Amino acid sequence: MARSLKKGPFVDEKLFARVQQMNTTTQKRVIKTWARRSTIPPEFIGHTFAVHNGNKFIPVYVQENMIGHKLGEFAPTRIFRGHPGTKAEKASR
Amino acid sequence: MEPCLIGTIVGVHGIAGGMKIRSYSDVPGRFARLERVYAGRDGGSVREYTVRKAAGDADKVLLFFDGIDDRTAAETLVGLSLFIEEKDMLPPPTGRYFVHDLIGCTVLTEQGLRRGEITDVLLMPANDLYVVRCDGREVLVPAVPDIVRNVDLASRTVTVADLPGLFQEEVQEEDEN
Repeated sequence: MARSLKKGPFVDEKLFARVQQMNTTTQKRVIKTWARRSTIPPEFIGHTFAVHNGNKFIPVYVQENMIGHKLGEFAPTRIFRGHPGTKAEKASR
Repeated sequence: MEPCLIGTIVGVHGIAGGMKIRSYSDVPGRFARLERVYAGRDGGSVREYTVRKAAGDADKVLLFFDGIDDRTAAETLVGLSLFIEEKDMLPPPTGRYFVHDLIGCTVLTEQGLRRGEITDVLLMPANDLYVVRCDGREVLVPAVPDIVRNVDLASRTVTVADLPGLFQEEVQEEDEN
């Protein structure tokens, strides 16, 4: 069941305050967070969050198409690294 | 020959020897331009096939091999991996790099300070991550233009922005959101 529209999106208050502070000072640094449930508001664009996946912090660089999603969606708790010993024609970036 | 994995035969299609392929390649038009391919369980014991016809692209690819003319013959190849020779590899799209080319590259900051060496590349939902071995620990670097400023495969170096908190473990109470 979807969240009530009356409430609006949930954004972690402490995290939002930190980003607002960094936006006013135009300062940039990686922000460590455990707030996987926090929705990504437009203010987060261009910031890098180290989102905890239960084991380690996964750096997530927030881009425009990520608005409205949760931070946790971009830091999977399980990682499939492919089958060992095979060199694939895989490209990065 | 150093084999390079491009896909797996996952099923058959029709009665004329068509095979459904799951592609692992990020090169656009990889199967349309394919002439020769090696099929086998691993890169060591493979058999060469000539591609008669290729259809589709991206995830849905159909291949037809010379000598595999009916469904029964095609069914014997299901489950095999498809390889090409390293010399047959096509260049990746502009601004993208093969994972095996990036592994082993030295990571430098914009000031020329050596940070470590790329040991792996993780393909994540938001952005790819370079796993950098830095002073005995692993650091994850997001592969986005704002952070990875330059990739020079000729000199095997990757230049990254020295974003505070990326390489240094900063202990700050207010970070614990």
